[in-house]
Amino acid sequence: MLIVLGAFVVLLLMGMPVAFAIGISGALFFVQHPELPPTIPIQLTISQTQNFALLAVPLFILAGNFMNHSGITARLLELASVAAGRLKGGLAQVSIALATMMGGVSGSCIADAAMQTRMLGNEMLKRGFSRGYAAGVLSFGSLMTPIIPPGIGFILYGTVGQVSIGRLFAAGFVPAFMLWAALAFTISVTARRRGYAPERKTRPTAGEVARAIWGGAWAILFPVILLVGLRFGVFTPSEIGAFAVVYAILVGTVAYRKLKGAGFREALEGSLVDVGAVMFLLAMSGIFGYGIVFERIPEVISGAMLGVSENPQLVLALIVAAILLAGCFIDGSVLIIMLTPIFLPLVTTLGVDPVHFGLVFVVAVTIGNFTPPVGAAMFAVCSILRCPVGAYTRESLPFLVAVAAVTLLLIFVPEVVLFVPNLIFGNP
Amino acid sequence: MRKLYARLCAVEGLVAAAFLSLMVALIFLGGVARMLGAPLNWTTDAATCLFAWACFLCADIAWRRNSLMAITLVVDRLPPATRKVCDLASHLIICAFLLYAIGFGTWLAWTSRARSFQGIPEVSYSWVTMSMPVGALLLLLTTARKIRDELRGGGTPD
Repeated sequence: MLIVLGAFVVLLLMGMPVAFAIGISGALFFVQHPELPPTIPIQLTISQTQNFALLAVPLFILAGNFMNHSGITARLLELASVAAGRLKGGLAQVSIALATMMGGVSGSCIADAAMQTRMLGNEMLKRGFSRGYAAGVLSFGSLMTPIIPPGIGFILYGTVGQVSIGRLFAAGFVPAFMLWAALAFTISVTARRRGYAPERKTRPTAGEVARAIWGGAWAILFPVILLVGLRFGVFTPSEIGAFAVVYAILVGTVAYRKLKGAGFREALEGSLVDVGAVMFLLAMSGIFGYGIVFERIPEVISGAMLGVSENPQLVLALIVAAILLAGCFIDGSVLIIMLTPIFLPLVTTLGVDPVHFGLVFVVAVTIGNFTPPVGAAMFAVCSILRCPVGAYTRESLPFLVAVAAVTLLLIFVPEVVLFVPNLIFGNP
Repeated sequence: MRKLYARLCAVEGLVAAAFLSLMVALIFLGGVARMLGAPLNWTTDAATCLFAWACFLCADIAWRRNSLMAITLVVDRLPPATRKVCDLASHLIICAFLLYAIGFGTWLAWTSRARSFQGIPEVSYSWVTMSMPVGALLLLLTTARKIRDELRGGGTPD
């Protein structure tokens, strides 16, 4: 297994796509064990694609891409500007409010960060925001997207770790709003110092508010419908995914009438690439996982961790620190797929709730998308805004501190996370 | 030859898109049918079979567009010549792996032809298993073209 891990690191550093690196290094395990039939890696790969729960992943990717082409974003932008336009920091406040609302329709933070940067990035620069600050806001704002249901990260974690996806979805609301509040507070403090003015001078009229809420209603209702469907067992997560696609198409064609031939094609084509990137990785990780279980790696790591401390919160904090560190280099979905089988058994023996851990895990992994040197959302935002990574790193530091503080709070006060899922689904 | 390949790519995209759309339709239908109290078991099975094919076809599409996640932090800082060697080596390793997947995948599909898929007697499990060797073959073609571009063009085709 050491050879496998060594090969994995070498292949990664060579610039090989993670999916291939994980499959090829995982296959080396079978070269070392000639007593195992050589067809097992093939079977492992295929059996990953035969997992009914994982079907939800491509479906939510499709739904998100259709939503983005449905014209819903423009309506939500209006709503966000009515809701947050009078706060200090103007467009930055609008941007994170929009990101939070978008969380309910889209499940991927990278796609969301890229889209918002295209929409708001240049406007922010025009109003005098510095490039690094704008990039920081746009990138960190997308932290809420995977945490408000639906989120691909929760589906991956729930499937790999066999945790209720409905509970995980429900657990996302409160932390997402806390993260929003923390970011909004940080923006208003930094904006005051930098002299960034509010976006709107006057209080919005009641008519404006009503119109904006009505316009965005389809998007805001969506996560609520999802949860109701899951709560009453009307739908399985995969069925919810299919329902989400149909919902997005209906909203795009009937409600807003923005989803036409070209947009439809674009959404579908974009989804093919996204599905390929995520699912191939998942399929290949099946090969790698076999060796990990075979050699009892989770037990070894658990032993080492428990040697340091047996305090659940402390171990959780250690794990989060490890994930944040790893997240600087490795993509989030890879971390969820690889580390859930290792860390989840460890924390459950310490009495940590799997839903609580899942939420903290997904938050930490998502933060990894924003931190240099390797952060997918950071790359997307910085390349669209043509912002140097150095400036981004310097000026987004306050946001990192803010979300880190919320993460710590989430670690030490599990009730904040578990309150809503226990309310909706009952105590476990 | 180039035309043929372009057509292959177009067909691949169409099939993948059709399979994804069919999956949505099947699962949606299954959900609605169950809600109405008349569950259809075959919709799930058909959808998971399509899923395997969609995964590998989409993987190839993503690979062709260089959209598979990779860590290029180190290789980006290498001198161009060294970087080229690195890319070439990694692509050759990928080729070897894909050849293995094609060989043993086909063999597995052949030996599992008697096993029926999800207990449906008329449908062989090989329909699912074949998705891997076929997908690997497409990925191999894409990788071979990448290697050709590297040997010809000098730089990496991003």
